[in-house]
Amino acid sequence: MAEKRKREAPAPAPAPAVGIDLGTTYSCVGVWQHGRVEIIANDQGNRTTPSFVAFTNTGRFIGDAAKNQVDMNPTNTVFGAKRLIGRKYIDPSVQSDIKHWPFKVIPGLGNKPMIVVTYKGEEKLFATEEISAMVLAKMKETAEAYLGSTVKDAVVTVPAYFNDSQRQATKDAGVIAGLNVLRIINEPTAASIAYGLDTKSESTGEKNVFIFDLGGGTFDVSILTIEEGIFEVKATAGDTHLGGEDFDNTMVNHFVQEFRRKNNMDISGNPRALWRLKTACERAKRILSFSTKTEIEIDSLFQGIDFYSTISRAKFEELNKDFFTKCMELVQKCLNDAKMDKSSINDVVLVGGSTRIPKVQQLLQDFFPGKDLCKSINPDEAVAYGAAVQAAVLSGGGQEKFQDFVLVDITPLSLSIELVGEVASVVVPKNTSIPTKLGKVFVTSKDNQTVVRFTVFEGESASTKDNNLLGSFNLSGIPPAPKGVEMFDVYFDIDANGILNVSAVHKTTGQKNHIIITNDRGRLSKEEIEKMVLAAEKYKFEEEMYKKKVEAKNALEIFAYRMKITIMNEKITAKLPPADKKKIENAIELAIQWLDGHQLVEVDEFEDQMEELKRICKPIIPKSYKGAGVINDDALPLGRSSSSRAAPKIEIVD
Amino acid sequence: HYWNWGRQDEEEDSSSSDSLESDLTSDRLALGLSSSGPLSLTDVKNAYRVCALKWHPDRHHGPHKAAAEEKFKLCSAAYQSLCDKLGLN
Repeated sequence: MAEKRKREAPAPAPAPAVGIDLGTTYSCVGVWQHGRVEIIANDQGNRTTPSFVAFTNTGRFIGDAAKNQVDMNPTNTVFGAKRLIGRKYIDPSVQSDIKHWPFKVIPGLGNKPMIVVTYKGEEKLFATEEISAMVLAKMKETAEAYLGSTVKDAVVTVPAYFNDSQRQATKDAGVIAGLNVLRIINEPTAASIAYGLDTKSESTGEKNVFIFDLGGGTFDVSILTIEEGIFEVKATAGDTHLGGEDFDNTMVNHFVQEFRRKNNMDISGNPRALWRLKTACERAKRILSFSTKTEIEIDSLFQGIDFYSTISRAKFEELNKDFFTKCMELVQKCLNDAKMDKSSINDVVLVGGSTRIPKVQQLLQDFFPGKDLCKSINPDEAVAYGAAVQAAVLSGGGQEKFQDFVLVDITPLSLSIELVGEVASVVVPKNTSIPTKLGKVFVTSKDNQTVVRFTVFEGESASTKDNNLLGSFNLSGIPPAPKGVEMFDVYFDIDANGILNVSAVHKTTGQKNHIIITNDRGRLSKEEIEKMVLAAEKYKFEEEMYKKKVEAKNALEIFAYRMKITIMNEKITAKLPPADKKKIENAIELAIQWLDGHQLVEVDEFEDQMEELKRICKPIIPKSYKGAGVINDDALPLGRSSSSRAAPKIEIVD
Repeated sequence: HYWNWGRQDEEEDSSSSDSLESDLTSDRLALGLSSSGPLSLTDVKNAYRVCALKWHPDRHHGPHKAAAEEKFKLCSAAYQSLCDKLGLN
């Protein structure tokens, strides 16, 4: 596939690294080019692409094409993979999400959630990473179509409050999509770059910036200090499961109850009805950002019953007030963590589609009195914008422009070693700048202990059982001694990519051991990833084959119908012997009949049919005929686009 | 050589003012500040930003990346500890 592209563009310069915002509901890709960021529109002309993947009997669709067909195919259209990634099936948030989704999720090996779909008539299981990889691959293709060369390197964003498992799984998705992930960066931090570069010219001196990022599925707040080109993240807080989707769902629940009251029927078991209701609710939510009241109208929602209702902005706010309260609590928490008073914040920046909700803006405005909420950056594109800048910085592109640019990010969660009794002893506190190296001394807990186990956790709970296990290792050969005597230096070393290396040294013997945290039980193995990379390539290949088949079929179909018109043109057939004319007519009729019975056979068969038909029709093919299916003859009623020399790409609308 | 990184431990193990004093000196030196004399939070911030631009590993693409990263970790720890101390006073 790469070769094919090379042939199209003879000497492609290596494509620049791109920035991808992999969102819960929408994704966005940007690239640094000619001294600025370009947000790249997809093949539908949209600057954001739905994070949707659909499976049908004929093939796979990603993005707009997938979202547009959910109505007809709700159980095989996957979305919201970001809410599953890096989580266990038994996670309460996974359990509650599954209830809202029309597609099926089951527990797989190691309690990984697996998505079940029917693809080409067969039941298939996909890991969340594979679904996210399909979305990433779509963004990669979007960038490639724009840049005209193969994209390899990318910076991918994640919510700041994502834990290690979620980050690693996102990185794995990148690998499966054929990307070299230069770095996983935090979404609010990326947005701050967009904001910082935007306002750079007009500001001098230190500025404390509050980023409020409420998207489709996740919520993050970050406080940064920006001076000149130096971006220093001070604190971050968030909820990896709070966003626009939740607001839609509360509305859906509200209307499900209303439907039950009015009709004494429960629609909650019907995926198609639920999806149509959800789509209507999402639309209503958007309208309520501009008007105070709107209607919901769905014809034949369930068992032929139409559903009409209204919802006011006040009702919407009431339904979601717990979520909004949660947002504001996290705003305060972030300020506390940064040891800052809200009066020291210079700017409040809104990021993410859900910040368009008036109530959210009002609560923020009330919280930060007298401060303008900064809406100058595009809330849907800011994250990809910042990711594109960071991609250019990390790949060494645009050096001059970034002469004074540096971004110092932080670890969002505390990192600790487990003590006796499941107690977490923090070594790296949350909101520590990275890269970093911090140490702490630990002692044996039992008399004559010769082996010590170091278990590493991530999270804010004082008890390790509520934190996320990252890994563990042993140190053996410790000389027997009373408990508390033998001492160990334990160091946590985190590089700029967030890779954690934990090492322990026995103070008296110098015995040491260490672990690089890149793995945990929920993560895909190298072999699994390799298998998924191959599978992804296979799906892509199959898709291309399918596309070729459709093209070959269309070419034959167009040619046959054009010949059918041509043979009826007396000017052309005047000199033709009647027997030949009859033969041609028969051949055309046969080809059309054959097409009816052979919708999607191999490309060869379409081509063979085409050759045969061409051979027979030769006497009536105009001399100006060029290429399959296109006849550049004004006498023939081809579409208006016939001025183009290339064969028109005709897509079959399902 | 792990002892180079052991500041945090020493602080926990001993409460003597001597070790605190010497920490302060090494932190100041790590950020390129004078070893003694009056110090404001602004001085510390400015010094740290100069260090960040100079040593953050993202600003290095060659073979010096690893060394720069180690240097940055030192500056970052020194900055944190100086900020904490100045913030408390």
